Amino acid sequence: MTGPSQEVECELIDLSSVAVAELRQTDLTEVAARVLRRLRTSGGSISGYSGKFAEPDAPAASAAPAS
Amino acid sequence: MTAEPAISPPRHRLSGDSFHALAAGLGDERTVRELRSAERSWRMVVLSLVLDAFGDRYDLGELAPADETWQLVVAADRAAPGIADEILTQPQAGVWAAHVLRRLDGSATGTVPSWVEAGYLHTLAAAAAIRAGLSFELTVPARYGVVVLPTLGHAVLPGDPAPWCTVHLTCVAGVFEVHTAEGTAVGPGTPAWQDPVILTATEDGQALTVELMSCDPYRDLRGPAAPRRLSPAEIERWRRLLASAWSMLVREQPERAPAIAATVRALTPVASRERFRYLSASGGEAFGNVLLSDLEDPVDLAVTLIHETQHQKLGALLHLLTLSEEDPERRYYAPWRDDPRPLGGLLQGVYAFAGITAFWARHDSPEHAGLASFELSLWRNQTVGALRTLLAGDRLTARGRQFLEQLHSSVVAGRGSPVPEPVDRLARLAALDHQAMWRGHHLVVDPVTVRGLADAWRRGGAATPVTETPAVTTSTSPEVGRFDTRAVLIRYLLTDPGRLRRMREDPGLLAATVTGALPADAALISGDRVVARAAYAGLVTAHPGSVHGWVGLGLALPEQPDSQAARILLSRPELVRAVACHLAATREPGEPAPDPVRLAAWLGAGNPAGSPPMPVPAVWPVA
Repeated sequence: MTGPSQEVECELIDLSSVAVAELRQTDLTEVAARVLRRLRTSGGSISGYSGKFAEPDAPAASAAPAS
Repeated sequence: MTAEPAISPPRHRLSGDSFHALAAGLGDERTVRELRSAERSWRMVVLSLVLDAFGDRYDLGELAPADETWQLVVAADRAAPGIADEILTQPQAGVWAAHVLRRLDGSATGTVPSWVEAGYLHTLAAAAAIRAGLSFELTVPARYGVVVLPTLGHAVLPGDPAPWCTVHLTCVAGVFEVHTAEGTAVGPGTPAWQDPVILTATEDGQALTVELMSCDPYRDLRGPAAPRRLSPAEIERWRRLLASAWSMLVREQPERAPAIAATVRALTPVASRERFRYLSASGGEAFGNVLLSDLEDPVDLAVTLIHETQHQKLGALLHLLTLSEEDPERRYYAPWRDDPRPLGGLLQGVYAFAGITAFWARHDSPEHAGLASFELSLWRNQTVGALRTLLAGDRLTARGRQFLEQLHSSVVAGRGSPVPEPVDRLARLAALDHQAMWRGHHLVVDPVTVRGLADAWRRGGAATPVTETPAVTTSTSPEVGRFDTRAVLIRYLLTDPGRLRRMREDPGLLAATVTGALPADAALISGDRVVARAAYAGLVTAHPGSVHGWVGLGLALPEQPDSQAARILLSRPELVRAVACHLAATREPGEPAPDPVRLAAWLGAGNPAGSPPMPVPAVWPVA
């Protein structure tokens, strides 16, 4: 399907030529829906070593604050 | 006045070389550069969504409005291009942005006030402006008495501050101070200021540099976390561990080490775990950050860096391309997890374990020889099996199928040296054990079927075949699961047999060393099947709901091809357990408890299946 020399066209827009300062002037509507969908379902994108990685690490349960 | 036309950028294009390298489970610095560029684009979109969402929906309290704060970022970017980029693409900024969006749409909750969460933007902006040499003043939040300025360090406020408060930050041409309400000023050069902890390991001219993160509120992948200051001794231990692990990786994995160095930018330690039960994790929004529990051995850190770099590469690729389509009605068996996984989770797992398999195929230290053979045999077979499950399904996109077919070829081709038969047998036992434990915990047998079988047993009739596919539960109880308990004992057998012997002699030591392990387990792994069988039989007679006991009994029975009891216990433990539980719940006074081996053999005779007893399918409908 894709040979080593063939580029793969991706689904993500390329903002490499857009400076941070110009970000708010950039039209992102085309890609925003896909990104939001991924974020909403990305609870599963945390890839832990095993099912034992389930305990919350909320602030109250964490180690003592800095002293 | 006419509005300035919006810029419509093109799409990313991934080089064919990089796609194929990634599909082979590899990728070099150039590949990671392409992925980093994609991650920057992804992050910019996410940040833009956050800024859109803030609008008037987030209570910022006494903090400056988000748009105004963003203007500080813009000014920093114009004054010193590249600095804002570096700060905004930090992994913790991604965790923050995604978390805030989830809180706004209600898919995440939290106890941290919204203005404190929103105020992380202010600390990002402040860090960018300071490093750009600007002069400004800004109010920023402090959490648990700590103010973190990403990439610059953190200030520790004096006294016993409230969980959340604000501090005033002043900066003149890049020289800054944090002022508390009580009038204390903290900044670089004062005792209460802490620079980032940067660790660099170098081997054969190749360097790996990471920040050891412990105070940033978004260093944890799951949401905000309180600061956890590391002692100088802990930092020094991580420095030594990293140096040894990096040396090992450069020597043994020369084709993987450069990508690790290009990918991993931060390590976030969390509390220690039992030996062989370490934790590590990566997040799709945190490219470059690895969460990991305290480790003891450099080999554990080396394999963790391989493992997590695999996750990070695939996570970035998945931002570029869709490789699969989720089906919320299906869950998969993943041989490295206790919980039923969605397809995306299994995909991440096979990619990570392809890397782990490659690590163990090359690892050559004499003190780990037995362990390396065991891990290689276990994970290469499990990875190939899971890849075949994915390839046999219909949920892959064309690009995803191409990717996984190449990964499958790569794993099969790189199988490594033959594994000695005794160790291979232990790996097969561990694989069967985990799969059977998973089935016993998660598969739900139709209660009508169970009642019919129990009635037939009481009548002295034959067991009727059970042909329907059980449904799978989607939740797990890790604290009672611990499907790896006997595998952990195998690892002790291979690395420290004396300790296993002492654990067998001292049940207290066993329980304290391997949570969930029983004397029967220690007997089984030590090779004493007779003792193990009697103990497991006693356990399931007293507690017919014990999956651990039923599967252990199956493992302890003699290895005979025609052993109906062993086969059904290891291939369909959920069936035996369900019938035994029903018989116990409905037992008449004076009715003896069934002999567990006889009951299993009876069910096995009624449900003949092929050998070896590997359950199929590996994908299940959700109950």
